[in-house]
Amino acid sequence: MPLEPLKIKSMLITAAQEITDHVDILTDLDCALGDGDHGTTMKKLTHVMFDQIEPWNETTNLKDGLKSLTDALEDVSGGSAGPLFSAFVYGMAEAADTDAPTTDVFVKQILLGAYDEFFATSKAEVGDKTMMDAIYPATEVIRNATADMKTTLEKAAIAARSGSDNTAGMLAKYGRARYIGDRCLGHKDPGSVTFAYFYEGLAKGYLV
Amino acid sequence: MTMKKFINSPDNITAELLEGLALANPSILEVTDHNLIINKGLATADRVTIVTIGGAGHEPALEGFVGEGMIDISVVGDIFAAPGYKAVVEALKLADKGKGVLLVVLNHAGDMLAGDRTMKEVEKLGLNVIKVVTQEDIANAPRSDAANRRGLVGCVPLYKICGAAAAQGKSLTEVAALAQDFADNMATIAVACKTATHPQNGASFADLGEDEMEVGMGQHGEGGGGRQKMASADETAVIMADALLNDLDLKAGEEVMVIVNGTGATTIMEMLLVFRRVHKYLSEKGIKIVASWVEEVLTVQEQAGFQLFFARMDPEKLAFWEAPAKTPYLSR
Repeated sequence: MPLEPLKIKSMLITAAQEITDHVDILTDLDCALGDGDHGTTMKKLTHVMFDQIEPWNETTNLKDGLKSLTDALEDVSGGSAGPLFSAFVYGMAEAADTDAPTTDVFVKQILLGAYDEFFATSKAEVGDKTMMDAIYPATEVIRNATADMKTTLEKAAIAARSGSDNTAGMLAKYGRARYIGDRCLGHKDPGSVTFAYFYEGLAKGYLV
Repeated sequence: MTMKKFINSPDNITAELLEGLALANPSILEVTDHNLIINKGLATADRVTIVTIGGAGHEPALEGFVGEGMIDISVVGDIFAAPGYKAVVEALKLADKGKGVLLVVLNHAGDMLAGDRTMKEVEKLGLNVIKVVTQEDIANAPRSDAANRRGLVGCVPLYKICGAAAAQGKSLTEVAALAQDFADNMATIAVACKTATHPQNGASFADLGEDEMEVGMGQHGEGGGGRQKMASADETAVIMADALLNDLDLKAGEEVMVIVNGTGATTIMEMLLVFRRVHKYLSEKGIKIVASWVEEVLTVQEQAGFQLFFARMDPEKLAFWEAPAKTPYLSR
């Protein structure tokens, strides 16, 4: 069965939409911990996603599409979230195998590839109060999945959200939050919240 | 929250301020695509060149120090945000006049990611670039843990000293060694008593109380070290000077540069009171101030507060500091 680009398009567009819809929450979180620009940065990055992905159709080569998306994301001036988000998408593009037997296999490949590249760039460990605290648990669900893809993505989204919620109790080891010591306790890491929305959007946008 | 700033569309602030800078200084610099601010003298330069990267919103730094004798290209990101690495690579290609390029990166997460990514491309392209990181904020980590020290105002005197060395024909290896030596012998500590708002979303960074100040405030207004009761200019000067003296292990007989850098809403009047006390305090300790600068150099919007900067000096560095330069915000 050939790949279904419209399925991938729907997932990524919905993920970007979930993030865009909650930009104000991201801004407020970043004001508590950082310099207040995470929401602004994510707005810029998701706009690039809309611009790049909206034209995709049934015949789009997904590897080329993801490569172009990476290129466009890398042009955004986006603090640290920009390069980290770009690395995630670059990992998708690198792992994309247009000869994958099914779209579900392709989805799994690109999401695992995204994690690998993100980890190589970010170097953060679970528990450091970063994006990783949402991405890692979601990736583990996807890596070990036995259920169908819709259920798997829903579980991954729950894992990402729960991982992100847990960051409220963590001391930051990366980013600007590490400079405020225990005053960062009680506040969720904004980058992890972004990725909770991202995985929720993937699940919501997955067309059965 | 309402924000009272003279701006137009929040999304266009960076592009508009860079256009304004170029229009105001047509003989010194120009702005190109990808928000590169370029020294007009670069076209005919036959020497090592200096490139730096960083977000906007800190004016006059960084891009206000582009010009002969300082920065050749400043790669400007959006407000408080690092530029994408592709713009940095483009700047390095433009800047390389066959003698190599010094790339100065301030230690902030986004800038460091862009810098690392850039250096991967530099290797692929075979460009002759040496990267030097400034990380002189003493507030959060000891000297041994440089990775956790932010880059604050210290990059600006470093541009000046390295720019002069390049202008006098030093090689890239020599300029980079000088940059590293200066960076290793500088220290900054910041204080804030009123925080700023982000000009693109009106958000305030922190919630300092009416009677509080915070020593160790970061480049972007993000929280840092200890909050304490608001103190006088003299008291604050001594608290901060002691911290810097201790970090640099400065001894009687040594010579230093001192900068009092206003972060946006602190008056020159207050900064002069602080400098006065620092000068007397160092004199009492037998430390000689051979270079001084009391000015708004690297600001954080309308944050009230200042950064106090010390650097250990020697005759060579002093000569480079005093050498000619022609930039919008530093000329001699």
